[in-house]
Amino acid sequence: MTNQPNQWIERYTYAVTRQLPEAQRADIDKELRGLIEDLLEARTQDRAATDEDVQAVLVELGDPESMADKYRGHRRYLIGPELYPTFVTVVKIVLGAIAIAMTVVFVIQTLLTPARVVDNLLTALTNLLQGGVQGFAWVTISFGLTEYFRTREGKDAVKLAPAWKVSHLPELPEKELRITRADPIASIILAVLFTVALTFALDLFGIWVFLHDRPGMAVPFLNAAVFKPYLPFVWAVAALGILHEIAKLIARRWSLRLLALNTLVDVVNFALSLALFSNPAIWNPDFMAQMAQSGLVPAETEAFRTMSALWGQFTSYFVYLIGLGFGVGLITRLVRAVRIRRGSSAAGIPQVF
Amino acid sequence: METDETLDGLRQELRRGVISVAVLSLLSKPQYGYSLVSILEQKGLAVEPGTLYPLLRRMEKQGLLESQWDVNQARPRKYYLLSAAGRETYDQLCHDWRSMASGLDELIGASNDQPAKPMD
Repeated sequence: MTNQPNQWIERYTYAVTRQLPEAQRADIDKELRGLIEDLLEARTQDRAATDEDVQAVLVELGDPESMADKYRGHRRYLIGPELYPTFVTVVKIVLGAIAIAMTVVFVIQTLLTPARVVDNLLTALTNLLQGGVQGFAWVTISFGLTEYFRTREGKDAVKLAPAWKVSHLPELPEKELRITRADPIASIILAVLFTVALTFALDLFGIWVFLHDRPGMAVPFLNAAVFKPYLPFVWAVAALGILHEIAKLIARRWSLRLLALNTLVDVVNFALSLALFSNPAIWNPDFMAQMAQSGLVPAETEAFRTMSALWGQFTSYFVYLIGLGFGVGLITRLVRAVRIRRGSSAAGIPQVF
Repeated sequence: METDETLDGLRQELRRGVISVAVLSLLSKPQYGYSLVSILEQKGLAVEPGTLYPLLRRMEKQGLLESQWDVNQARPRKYYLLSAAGRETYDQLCHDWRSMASGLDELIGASNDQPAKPMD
């Protein structure tokens, strides 16, 4: 029986200190034990402490969770109450987009191969589950990181914040710098749709042929075997892109920091696209043969020759299209950066989101 | 029910600052946590150990207090004492408290003599 009261004390101090930084644990543990013994002594005077005494004292000290919170000075969150509503919105958008994408993939595959409807349905359900788990995980990770850096920044800000002046009041955002809610939401949906399609139905990126007298057929642009090893990179880029859209959804206006993240996303995207499309093997080598087979452009016809030439040009110039897209993005960002600088030089402080 | 909660909240806010000053006032001599708990309770400023102990630690981190473990007694105790900066801060806070208290006394006294009328 003598061991029992001590065990409660052990368990209590452990419950408090395990949540605290390693460096403070031993000291706080010692302090708490001293406190508990003092409280016990005050309670029992000279008689020996019983199990009930110990329990009463510990109840008086209260929930070890909140005790640890007080020692820490702030509560810990994976996703704090400020970010949580946005988190819920984004989870809904992402899961909704995944569900829509999987349904679309299923419908199209069933149109192309009506005989395999049961097979397709089972695959679709499995993919839906996998995609949902993946989507949820990535969104949670993104928000967790955002929360982590926000709290860390908040701590520094207390020390570093310069004296506030009226001129520090943020400029009313120029119309061009505002971000509507619809923009990031649409981008997230598109990113999810695109990623789901690339992952589960690469064939859909191609030409779909439905002729009266034959079964439907999709002629894919890309070579699945060459593309497949790149998939993890596609997911990583999509996750980074969604993180950026979440940042936009929270900030709701362009800032230099947001532009920096935007640049990072674009550069990574650009690098991946270059890596993919500078390799000629990425294109479906049998594209023209399959086109002919589909019946849309029978071999040896004028249409077939025109199509062949077009396909050759398309595949060899595609890299330049990617470069063009990147360039346009670069110019847009420069224009925004200049706008932000103009706005913030008036206020004399750098913009932070 | 709701007014009780409101009252509790306001009380807590009011006490939070007062307890800090009270703690500083007691630490020109070294004291350990539980002795502070007892003294404050006698003075009608009861504070839970779960609040006081983290407060002492925070004040030490802020440079207001210095601490030392005394291991010569039956059980080891951590003694806190005002630092030079803590003394300065305490003096300033005392000054602030006196002017606030006298100002508030006047206000409370005035409203006791003439109970506030509801606004039109």
